[in-house]
Amino acid sequence: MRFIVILSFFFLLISACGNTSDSRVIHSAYKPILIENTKINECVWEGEKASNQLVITRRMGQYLLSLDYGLGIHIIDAQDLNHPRKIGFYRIPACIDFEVKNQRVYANNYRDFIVVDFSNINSPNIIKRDPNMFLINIKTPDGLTVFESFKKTPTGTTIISYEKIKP
Amino acid sequence: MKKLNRKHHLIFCVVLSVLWFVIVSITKKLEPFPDVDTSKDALNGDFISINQNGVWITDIYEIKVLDDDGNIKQSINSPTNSCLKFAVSDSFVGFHGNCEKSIYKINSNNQSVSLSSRLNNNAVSEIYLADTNILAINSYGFSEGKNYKNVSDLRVYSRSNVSSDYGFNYSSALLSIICDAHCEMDRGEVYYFLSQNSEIRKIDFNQKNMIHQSFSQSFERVNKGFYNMNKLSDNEMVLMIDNKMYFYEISPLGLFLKSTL
Repeated sequence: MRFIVILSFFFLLISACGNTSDSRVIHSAYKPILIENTKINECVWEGEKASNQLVITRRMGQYLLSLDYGLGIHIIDAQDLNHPRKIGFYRIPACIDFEVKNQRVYANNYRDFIVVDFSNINSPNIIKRDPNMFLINIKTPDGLTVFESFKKTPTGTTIISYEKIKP
Repeated sequence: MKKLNRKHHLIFCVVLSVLWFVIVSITKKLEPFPDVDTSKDALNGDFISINQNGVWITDIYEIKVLDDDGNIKQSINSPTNSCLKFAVSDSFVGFHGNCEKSIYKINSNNQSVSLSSRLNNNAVSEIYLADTNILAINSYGFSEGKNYKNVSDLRVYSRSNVSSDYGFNYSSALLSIICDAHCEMDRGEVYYFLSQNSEIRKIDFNQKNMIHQSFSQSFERVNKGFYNMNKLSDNEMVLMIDNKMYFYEISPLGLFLKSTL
């Protein structure tokens, strides 16, 4: 009997210690930003808003277009680079890459490829949409694994970006 | 040693069980789960690019060249089997696939393009191209161990001394840094941002000696997070750190901070 108890003790100790090694993995400092699946293709003009994580900036004439990772594009009037000012935000859910050519923006809107006409800066207009062109993976900015509590997302939602976890 | 009776055994087992559940519940709380999408064959940036031939996109298996309206002009099978990201200049295209990372020369023929034989194959993860006899490649990896230290090696490939179009000299003496770096290059100048020192440095390849020009900056030290650099024009550059933008004027004397946003 004593032998069984001691054996069980060692077995339990080893099995418990086996899990502690994973706890040394460094977790991401970011948590997902979600959007309802029904709204993922809604690309709309919004007013000026705060930036989250800027990753790509391109010049288009007097304006700068700056991609906020997974959220959309900030439009900045940069005619005078000494005094740049935001004038608006064009929401493109899950957009993680874009390019500019002749007042047109070529971007991804989640898995779709879109061409947006920016000739009227206050009213961008999608002139082409090719669905399911891309299989994308929106990773955490630091490339690390999210906490368990952030992994389980509500049904009918998609991760479009990440934001820093507030301490 | 005093013999344990059945009651003692029972108490001992109950205590052990409770202890085990406590330990397991604590470790379970700390246990990380994999990312939501762990697929390796997925795009994560640098899959849309532009050159004189049009708009280039990759859907991993095919590279498509589009006209200005977004219509497909040409499809090219990915020479690297799976193309997860690429960089395109007017003369070169650099592919990053799962198994192979290669640079090809672009042959333009009216509206169509073709890719020449492979110029270079190396373990690269980010590719920056310029047509002034220079190619720069930023390779990225993780060191072993629990610290997960970022290791970036900015390698510069020059073909200035090579007569053939298909040869590249790699000189490790040009630059080899152990840091988390991002670079931007244009016309023989490479700018790179060192997060460890929170400074921008420049290498001017137009000069005989490669000068690592350092620019002291006022922004806070950056350890982790988003940062990127983009050239906006011949004399403008922007550095993005998380949600802040730092605008610089590029002059022969160096970079000068003009404004922040």
